[in-house]
Amino acid sequence: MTPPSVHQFHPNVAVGDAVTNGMLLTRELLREMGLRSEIYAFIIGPGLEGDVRPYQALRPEGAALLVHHSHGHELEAWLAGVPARRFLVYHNITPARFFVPGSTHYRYSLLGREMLARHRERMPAALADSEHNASELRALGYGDVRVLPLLFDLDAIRRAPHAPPQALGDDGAFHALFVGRIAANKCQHDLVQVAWYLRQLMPRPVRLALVGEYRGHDPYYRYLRDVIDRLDLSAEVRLTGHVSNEELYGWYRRADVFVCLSEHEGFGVPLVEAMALDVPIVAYQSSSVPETVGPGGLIVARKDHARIAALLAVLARDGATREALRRGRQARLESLSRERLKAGLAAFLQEQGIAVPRPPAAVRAA
Amino acid sequence: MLTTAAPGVDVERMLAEADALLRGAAPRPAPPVLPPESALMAAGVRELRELLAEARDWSTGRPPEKALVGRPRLSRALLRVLFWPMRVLAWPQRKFNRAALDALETMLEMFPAAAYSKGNGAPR
Repeated sequence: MTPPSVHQFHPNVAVGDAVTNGMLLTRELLREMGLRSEIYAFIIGPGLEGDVRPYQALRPEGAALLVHHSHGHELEAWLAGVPARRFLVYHNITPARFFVPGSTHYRYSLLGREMLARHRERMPAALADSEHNASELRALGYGDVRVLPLLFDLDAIRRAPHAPPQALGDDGAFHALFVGRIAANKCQHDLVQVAWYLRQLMPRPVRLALVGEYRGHDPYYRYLRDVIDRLDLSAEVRLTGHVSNEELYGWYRRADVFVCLSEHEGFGVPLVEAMALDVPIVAYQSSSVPETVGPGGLIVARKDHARIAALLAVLARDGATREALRRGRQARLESLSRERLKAGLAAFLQEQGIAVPRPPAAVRAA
Repeated sequence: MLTTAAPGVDVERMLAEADALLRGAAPRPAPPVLPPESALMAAGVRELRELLAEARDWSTGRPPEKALVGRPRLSRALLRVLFWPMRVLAWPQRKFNRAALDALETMLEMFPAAAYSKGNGAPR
């Protein structure tokens, strides 16, 4: 007998993208459970052509479709006509105020929220990365929402090969790190202003690495460059652009602290990566961030740059606090293990009446 | 200002130490930085201006120079001749378009001041 199919759809996929990584992990988990599973997309980034199928190739008869949603797109009508049981997987949408008014991203942000309200009729059951995202769905009238951050594989992160960052030197500097594309909602300009104070407060040199993709013509990137120049921090702040996974994990392993001052994160996968690679976290209280960090880090409620820098300097010399945070990280990561995610996915599918040929042990026992 | 769900972290002590460090080191305040919204708004206004300039090219009623560049002399002459009846027929609409463009440009002139006054040069 042919096993049931649970496929996935997102309008675009790209190497290194958090939603794409989550879809690849989900496909792996579904196949391990004996289900047939493929990923379908409209725009397929370089390197994924053989792995992800064009959406026109979807033959959904008798299948279930996990519809990932992180922004608006032009395929709503097609999606509405797909003859399959559809389930929403919500990653949140970066609000339009963080984009250039009138730009494509701006329009797709607004459209994404409009579509979210309409999706409720077609997809009554949903998965959400965080309780923050789930509460947004419930407010829109979604009745059946399960929190399940199917975004990362902790074992794979810990095992991944890593390369030391290039040309960093060994001057005993204090290394602060943030990972994420250069974007207004991620507020890298706030991190640069913290670095201004940190340089004056630390007894050793200070480096701030901003690891993430940027485009030279992007207005926020140009603005960030201006801020770095204005604060005379070009020697201390490094914008790496897009890096390989090996380099990325090298940056985490070199970091003394991971600082996140984002004003919007749908989940914040780099926070989990930092925890998995044992980097202390200081983060600003916004969107899903406090929930993602849990007991694994310190949360600041105000963007007082001088005070945040002073807290980083205190943390750097406070072994007892770093040890307490390490224990907190371990506790948080236990709840995000691959087995727990797999069990959560199997339980969700069974609740929706989809037979899972090889459910994980935790679900079989329940 | 500071919270954590990690057991065993003395948040009050950390804050007291941080404040003592700030008092002792008395760091120079950072130079004022405009908020990023001003940069995004300025980019949006710039894009609109470019669109308006393009629209104005067409609203003059002449074939845009871009359409003529690089074409053989005969094709250019033919294009100009073909364009004449269109000019005559489209005259009322052009009149309206140009008035609308003038109004839009006047409105747009007011944007940079509005965008930058929000930040007022002060850090957030």
